[in-house]
Amino acid sequence: MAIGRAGRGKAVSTYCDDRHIIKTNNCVRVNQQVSMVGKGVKRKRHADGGLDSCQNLADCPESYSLKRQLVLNTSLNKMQNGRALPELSLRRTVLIANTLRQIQEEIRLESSQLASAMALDSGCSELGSQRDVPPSRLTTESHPAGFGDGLEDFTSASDEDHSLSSAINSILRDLDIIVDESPSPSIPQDNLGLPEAMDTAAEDWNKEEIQSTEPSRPLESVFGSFEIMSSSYLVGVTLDDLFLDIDTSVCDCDVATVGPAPSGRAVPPGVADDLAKTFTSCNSSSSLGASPTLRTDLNDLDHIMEILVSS
Amino acid sequence: MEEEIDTRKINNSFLRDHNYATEADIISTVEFNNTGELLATGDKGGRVVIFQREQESKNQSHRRGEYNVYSTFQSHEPEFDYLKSLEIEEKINKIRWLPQQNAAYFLLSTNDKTVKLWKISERDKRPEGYNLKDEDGRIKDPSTITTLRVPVLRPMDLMVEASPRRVFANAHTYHINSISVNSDYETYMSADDLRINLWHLEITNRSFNIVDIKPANMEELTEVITAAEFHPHQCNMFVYSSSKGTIRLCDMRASALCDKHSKLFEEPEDPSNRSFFSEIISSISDVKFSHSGRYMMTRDYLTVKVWDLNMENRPIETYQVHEYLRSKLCSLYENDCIFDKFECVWNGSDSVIMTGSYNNFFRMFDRNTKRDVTLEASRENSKPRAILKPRKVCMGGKRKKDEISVDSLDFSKKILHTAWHPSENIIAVAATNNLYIFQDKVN
Repeated sequence: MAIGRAGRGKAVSTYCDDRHIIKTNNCVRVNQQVSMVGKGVKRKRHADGGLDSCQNLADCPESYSLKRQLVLNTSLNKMQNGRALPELSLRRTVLIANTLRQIQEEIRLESSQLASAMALDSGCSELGSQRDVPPSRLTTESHPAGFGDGLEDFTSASDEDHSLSSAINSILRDLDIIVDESPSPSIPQDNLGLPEAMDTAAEDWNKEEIQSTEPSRPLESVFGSFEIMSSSYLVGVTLDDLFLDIDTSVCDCDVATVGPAPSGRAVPPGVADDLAKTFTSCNSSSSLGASPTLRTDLNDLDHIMEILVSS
Repeated sequence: MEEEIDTRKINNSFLRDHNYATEADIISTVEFNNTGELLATGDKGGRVVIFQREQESKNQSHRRGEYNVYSTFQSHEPEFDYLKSLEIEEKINKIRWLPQQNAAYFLLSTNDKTVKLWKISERDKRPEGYNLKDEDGRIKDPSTITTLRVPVLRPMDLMVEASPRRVFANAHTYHINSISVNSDYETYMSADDLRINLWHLEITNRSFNIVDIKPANMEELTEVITAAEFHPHQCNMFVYSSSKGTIRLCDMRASALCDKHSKLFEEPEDPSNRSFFSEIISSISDVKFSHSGRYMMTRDYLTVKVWDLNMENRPIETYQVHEYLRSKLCSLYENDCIFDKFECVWNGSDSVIMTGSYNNFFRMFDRNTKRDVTLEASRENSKPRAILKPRKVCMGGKRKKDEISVDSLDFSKKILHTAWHPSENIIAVAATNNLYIFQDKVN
């Protein structure tokens, strides 16, 4: 620290210079959060998301839905990781939540239009094109693509619909409880009985609001968000791999946190009954066609395992 | 705009020659005082360093007053909120000077939760000849005292002391992002994500809430307050900006709680530029009134906008800071750079505005000539007293000599905080842990 010299005459700074010594012993932390974009250096893939490089995707403007899915996944990742951040930036959380809601709304709109269009088609009536492009089509950089390539998204996406909004709401609610002295008085309506949500989703994917009377617990919301990730992330993962190491008696959850088993796979012993039920329901819903572009990453599993074990 | 600049940088980092920096040294705010004589910087470690301009001497007429360190003190310490199990960062978010009323200087500095009023004073005399204490300060044995004498003041080496005079605490649940001193010089406001409080400078145990945008149900939260400022001349008016790209002008005479705005400034979105990130990049990171009080300037992620206070539906001027980033928004979202909060400043005459960018670039826009320039604050590219060379970023295609391509930009080197001297062409630019001070060349 420089010792000050005032404009006239010499001055002695009253600040103690101990910090000078302390600094030499501190280990220097490089700011790890910022990664440089495209400086010829290979960027690290995030450990918990098997995402394709944003950069690559930006170069191929054809697939609007892919891009949207990418933004969706990135946002979900951020919401999840945001809890670990020591500095809770409310602004950042709100902006990400708004982005998620926007995408969710758009998906919902498209899926309902598609559903109505398909219903009309199957009703044997020739109605030209009912498929209006939804009013608020968003782009990352380029113009929206056609409907066709996004078809797979709708099925899994509509399942995610309610889980998404529940997760966002719960995260915001938890922020309130954590940060503010006076938590909001309203009883959460659409809370995470996410297993229930997934169940209903499997049966009927043109859905109504789900009322749950379970009180909200921050723990559940963590699992809740993972529920969403699991349906599109962990396809083809076997239950055995995931549950080998952990002691399920410790884990007092009735929420399925991992993806579906391939059909017919037996649930390993020691797992709660409702877990098994949820798995089969997840199985049926997700087998309708999760996005094929998102592949399983072992890092996903590690991350989820950490959450499970730490809770 | 052609500005010849004489450079002089002051490096207050301990690790001078290394490429990495201790995080505690990252400068988080820069502010000139009302005369420009003093320049205060706050850093992530909770320290405040004040620089003072040298008096111009006849001997060294070619050296127009340089800034030297005047005082350094620890303003805020890290705290832990045991009730909520949350760490409270000691990082100084904002510093605002009070106008000088006597020989001492006063400033307000704030971290996420607590605002403090600091008094910085000089001491150049000290009393000698106490009766009950000897020169070392030890108490004398009363029985040895035989005569009485009057202590006299003798000159000593100039010492600059900083002492906390007021601590304004426990009024904010969320993180404080702005403080602003009112033109009445008696009150000031502090704004966090959801609320704005009005304080009297003398009273620390009470503050008045004047804006509250917290919804009853937190699930409905979609907008937060990002910046707030009092009008420079009208003590009843202030503005606050939001994360949705709106600015609200409020009049405190209208009601005690100014939730209802007097004016709402918002520019309709350009439909051709719509993307997933439209809302995020429209979030306003800084709002500043012009010195005249007639205009205000807002900074969002890609642009700087100048608004006429009499026209609410659109800004009168829009300047593109780094439009070449529009195609990179997805990557910037991924690495969180899209959430960076850049500040903007006016010059003394409100004719030039300045704001920062990435790669240690900062931009200046001349409102009259409509010319703009990109400059770089870096050690390698500027030697003391060298003239800054304008930089250029090329979008794609052929890269001309001396141009930088968008993909080579270093997004970890961002200039978020800048300040402009209130009357002269002297600017202070904070680049991570380095402070650069640039002056107009005099010939």
